[in-house]
Amino acid sequence: MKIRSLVMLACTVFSVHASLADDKIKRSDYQRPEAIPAPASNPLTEEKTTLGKTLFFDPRLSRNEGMSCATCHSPDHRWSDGRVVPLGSEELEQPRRTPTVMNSAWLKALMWDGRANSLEAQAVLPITTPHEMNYNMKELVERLGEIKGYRPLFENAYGDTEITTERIAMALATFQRTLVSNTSSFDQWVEGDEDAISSSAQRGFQIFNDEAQCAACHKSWRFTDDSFHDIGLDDPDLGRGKVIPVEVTIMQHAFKTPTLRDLPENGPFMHDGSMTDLEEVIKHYEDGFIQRASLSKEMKPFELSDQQRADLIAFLKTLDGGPLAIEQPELPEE
Amino acid sequence: MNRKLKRWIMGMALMLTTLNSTAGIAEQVNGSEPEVHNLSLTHHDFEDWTFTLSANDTLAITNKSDVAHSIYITHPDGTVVNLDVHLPGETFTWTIPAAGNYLLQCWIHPIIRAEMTVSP
Repeated sequence: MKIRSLVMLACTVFSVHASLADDKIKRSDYQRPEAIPAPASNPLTEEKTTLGKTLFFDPRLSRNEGMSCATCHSPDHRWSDGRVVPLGSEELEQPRRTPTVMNSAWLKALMWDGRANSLEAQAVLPITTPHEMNYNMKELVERLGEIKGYRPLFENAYGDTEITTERIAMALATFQRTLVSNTSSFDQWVEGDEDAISSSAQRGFQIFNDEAQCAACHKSWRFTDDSFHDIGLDDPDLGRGKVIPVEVTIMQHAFKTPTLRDLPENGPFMHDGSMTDLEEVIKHYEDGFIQRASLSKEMKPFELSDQQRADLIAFLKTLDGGPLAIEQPELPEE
Repeated sequence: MNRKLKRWIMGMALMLTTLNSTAGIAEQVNGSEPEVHNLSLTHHDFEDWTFTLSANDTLAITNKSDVAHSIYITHPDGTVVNLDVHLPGETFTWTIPAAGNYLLQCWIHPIIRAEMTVSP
């Protein structure tokens, strides 16, 4: 009788515990949105997307005509470049890894340090940055104006053939908004397909939200809070601290939380590309970070077993929807 | 003393200090006494508020999320005032110096943004 009571009590406690966990971690928090957002000043259109895609792949947007946006944001590398140090940044003292442009339609702050607040504002930065495409918008407008093949593309997009900096930026932003992660096995699980991800990955999801508290920053369906944190990497780069008042200590060494969707197999990971496997990344978050005044308050040490780390990695791999099917555009002739 | 109790006592002390300091402020132009208004901060937003603000009023903002925030305020003349870092559960205050339009933002979470119009 006593044993029966104990079993019933244990069942009740387990049931309450499981129910609390379910309440706390809602799969619906990770549900994909139904539509791609766009500002009223630059609505999504097929014609603008076509123009933006052509511009994105055109190396004539760089001064020496040798680098396009797609050189560093390549469809073959999940719209990044797979490099620790981006092309052209080899001589920089503090180079930063190329972030993906997937799911950028939802970004509220762009660049690792958040210095651009819209895709339209961001679009011209790589074109005009000396160590990247090293061009200027005035000369680019003139160059594109001489390429006859661009005229119908601008006319279709905007109603006339005029080429301006603003129109180039709007088209590039529009194309990038269409780059959305494919549905992954995790998404299917969120939608109710219980067998879509393994038991190990399901345990990893629990660890992600509980023990490891990854979800404090890697939240929403994009697994980012669009915010800035110093995660205690041994790197002198001040990140967001370079672009905001120096007295804001908490933003020193702070970088934007990157998405965890569609992670490349071997990274590189972190803003400086300093890690190449996910186990190393997890161990950094466990207790490998530097304690300093600017360290994010969300950086709290924890300890995982080898099995838990494997579960967490299994979960992260379920966020991969595979490469986007994209046809390279035909570049307009002179 | 546990951390929650400590935070509660610190919060109350802060509130009392604020009330004490605002008590000495001269009457507002519209004749009413300065008020303290409570405002809640969630993960990524300020909760809706219904109060109206006047110069010399105080905002008591409570971080009801489970993450830290770092609120700063842009004054009508462009001056930026940092209110430091606010841990979960903490209440911090800001006394409004003058009428005008103010912008409240978070350094950590740029999505957090609230515009407030303050009357004389």
